[in-house]
Amino acid sequence: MTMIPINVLRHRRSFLTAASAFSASLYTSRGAFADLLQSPSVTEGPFYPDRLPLDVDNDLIVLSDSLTPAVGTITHLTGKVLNTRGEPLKGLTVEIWQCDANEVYLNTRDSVPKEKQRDVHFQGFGRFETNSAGEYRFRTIKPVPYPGRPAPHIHFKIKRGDRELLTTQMMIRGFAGNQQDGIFMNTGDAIDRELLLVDFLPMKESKVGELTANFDIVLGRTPEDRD
Amino acid sequence: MTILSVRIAGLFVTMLVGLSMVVAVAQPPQGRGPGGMRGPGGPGGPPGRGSASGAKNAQEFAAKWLTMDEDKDGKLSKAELKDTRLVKLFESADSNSDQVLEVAEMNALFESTSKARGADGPRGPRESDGGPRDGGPGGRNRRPPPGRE
Repeated sequence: MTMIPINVLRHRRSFLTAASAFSASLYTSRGAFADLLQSPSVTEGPFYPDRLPLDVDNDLIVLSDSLTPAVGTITHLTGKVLNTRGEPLKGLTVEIWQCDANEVYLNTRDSVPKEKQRDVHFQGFGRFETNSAGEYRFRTIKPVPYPGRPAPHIHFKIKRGDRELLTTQMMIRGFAGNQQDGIFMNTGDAIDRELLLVDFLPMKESKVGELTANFDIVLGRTPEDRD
Repeated sequence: MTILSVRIAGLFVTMLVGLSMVVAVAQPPQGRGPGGMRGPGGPGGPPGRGSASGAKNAQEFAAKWLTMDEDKDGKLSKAELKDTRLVKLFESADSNSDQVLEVAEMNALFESTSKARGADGPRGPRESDGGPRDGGPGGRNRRPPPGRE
């Protein structure tokens, strides 16, 4: 797990507070100091759910009234939402969506033509609110590639209330298809692309091959931060 | 006549000064780039430097690393790198393994990764994802049935 060491950052907090107060009106200047770099935005794509499922919790493996789990490699996806000073951002909504193991999204433009193909047990979309440590958590499947998107990915949206702060995607570090993926390869520069990559690691205590993945997201200044 | 014209001229000057002050006040605050004026309606739009578009050249790329250069010595040491997400990239770019990323190494990383993008041919059609987003012509609901995202 690669959690960003908040404690390490604390010793500079007083300096940073003074610095940020001083530079409040100059926050776009390139010289501004940052502990963490902003996560890049990545296209939303065409398949954000057009009709939200009844169950939108953070367990995408099991639908509320179902006993049958989704097909796929179960992945415990965790992470933090932070600002560039490394401070946790609580109370933000983290939304994720991805296609099922049979390559079908929870969007009628994809799911209706592929009605017979889809995994009806996969929730396809989930929501979670960050806690006071900025943390979020989902149980989902390891994303799969499909024609047109050789990079397996999970879509993310970060919101404060209804207001969207960031739309992005995470991808699997070391997956060969990333290098052929137009969305990935056209994202920003080498730093931006690096910030999208996540290690999928075997979960130590799991006997059924579950994985863990940690994806920290760093937001730039938002209007509320300008005070 | 003279006194009157002086008074009129004085009044005119006063009005001009006043007007210029009003204009000055009406200017957007200096130091805010276009990002700073971006309202709340810009989802994913990072204020200031847009990380989504990435650095346009080696100088911008190095400047991005150097936003984390705490002691402002013009290079980034491993100790200064608090962003654990970038440790692997830092190590791969630190060609002489001295735990310090110098501008020359940042430039080399930018050059190698920029070339790789052009050569590999992932630039093909950005599949249906490349189409207009919400609000654009043929936006979300009017787009023909997508192939794949």
